[in-house]
Amino acid sequence: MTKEEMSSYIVATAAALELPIAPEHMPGVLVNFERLAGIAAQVNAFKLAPEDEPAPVWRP
Amino acid sequence: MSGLHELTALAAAAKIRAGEVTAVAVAGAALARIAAVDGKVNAFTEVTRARALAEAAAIDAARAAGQTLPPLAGVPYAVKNLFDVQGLTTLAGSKINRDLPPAASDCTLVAQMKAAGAVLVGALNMDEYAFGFTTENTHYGPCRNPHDLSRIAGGSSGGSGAAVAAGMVPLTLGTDTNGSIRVPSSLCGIFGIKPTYGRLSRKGSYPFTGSFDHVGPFARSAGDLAEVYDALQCIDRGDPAQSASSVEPTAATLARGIDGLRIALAGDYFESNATPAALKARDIVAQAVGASRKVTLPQAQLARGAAFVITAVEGSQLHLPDLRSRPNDFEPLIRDRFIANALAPAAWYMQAQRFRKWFYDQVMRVFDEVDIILAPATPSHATPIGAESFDLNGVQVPSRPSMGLLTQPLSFIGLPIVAVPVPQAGQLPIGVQVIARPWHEADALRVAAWLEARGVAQSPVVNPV
Repeated sequence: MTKEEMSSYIVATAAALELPIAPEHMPGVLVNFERLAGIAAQVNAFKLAPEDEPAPVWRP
Repeated sequence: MSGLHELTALAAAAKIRAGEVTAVAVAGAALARIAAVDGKVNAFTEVTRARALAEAAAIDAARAAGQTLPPLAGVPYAVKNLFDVQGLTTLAGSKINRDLPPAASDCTLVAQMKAAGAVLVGALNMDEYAFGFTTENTHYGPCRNPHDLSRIAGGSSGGSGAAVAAGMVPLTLGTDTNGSIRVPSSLCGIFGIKPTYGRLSRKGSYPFTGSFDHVGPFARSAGDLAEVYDALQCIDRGDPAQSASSVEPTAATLARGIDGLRIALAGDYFESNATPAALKARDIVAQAVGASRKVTLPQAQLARGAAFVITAVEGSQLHLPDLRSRPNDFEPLIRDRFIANALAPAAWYMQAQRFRKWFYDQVMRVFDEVDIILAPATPSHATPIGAESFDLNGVQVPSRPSMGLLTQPLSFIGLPIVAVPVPQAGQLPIGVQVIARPWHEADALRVAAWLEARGVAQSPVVNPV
């Protein structure tokens, strides 16, 4: 994701979530989203098999 | 009587049981110590003086009536302010929660402590909504490290660590999602245990990241830690994640020492993300127990990353209504992170959750060959309050998220871990994680007690300077 794409994504997703972002908060949001995206990219690049399921706790 | 505040929990309980001192006097000593030093430390956000004196008086009355006293009778303790305490508003370190009504009843762990005879003296400072490793709380002021008041106490259970280190109480309760018990234990030089995920009930504690929220105690001795951990165990259907099927007391196992335990060191990630001082602490422990074998927890860096992603998504979704309507009431140091985290795509979250199971399976293979793994608890000692970054082996890393680098991959898969204090002359504290396989808290506590008996692990009361 380029910085421009990231900014567009943030604006669009915030709109979808009905989450207003004040102009003074946007620089900090961008920095933090970029850091999160960088960390997530490493995890996302790891190849998992279909049988690698999460382990939810659900005991009806 | 002077010096009562320096007693361990077990020593205080023994003196009360023997009639050498009253529970009211012990509670009074704790309250006096808080009054004397907390102005410097800022560990407490509320002192429950009336409740403490009433609970202590009830213990003294029970003894006078000839009743058998429970194990922690008359022992003062305090709780991170995200635990429900009847009559107090559960702040969870926030300004926003001040609008909530007072808790109608005690949470499960406070009820367990009451049943064990312990005396609640107050609620403790923390990072807002447990999101942080530093307890630099803008609403309530930073919690200061008793070893050096210009430095952080760690977080998010910073008040829980500092209150014990400074001798205000011998026991506290806290929570640990990514390291929030082990980081303050390390930086304040005390013992702490993060039990197996699902061991202790979280009912009545304010949540952060349900996938790996844990609760647990802090103490200045391994014996105290085992005793309070035992007292906290119960089967409680009120916590949907509690999966413990039985209460498994540990205190009686401490005398077994370390015989039969195969102990190894965590290499790779857990060394490259530690300063020389942190590795020195680990090596002191390794030498004492005769451990030299190194093991690798595969892809630990990704485990930290996946924990980061899950925390981001679950932690922010919880607060989405307030992020929409009153963002300026959040902690300024984390508000922008909360907003950014709320925007993460679902695919990132699911990949991280699936990776979690993969990582768990890999680590369980390591535990086929060893019983205990040692790793530093924090990358460095406490950083100055307000520091934006610290040096990690030549790289400047952001202070607030990085103090949990060595704890996050482990709570991610719910392993039980005891943080032990390893004093080094002339140095600020750094603790060591004694990591056991799931449901084997007793093994980690045995190592902690063995180290303490040999003077390797120690936690004397600190006079804040």
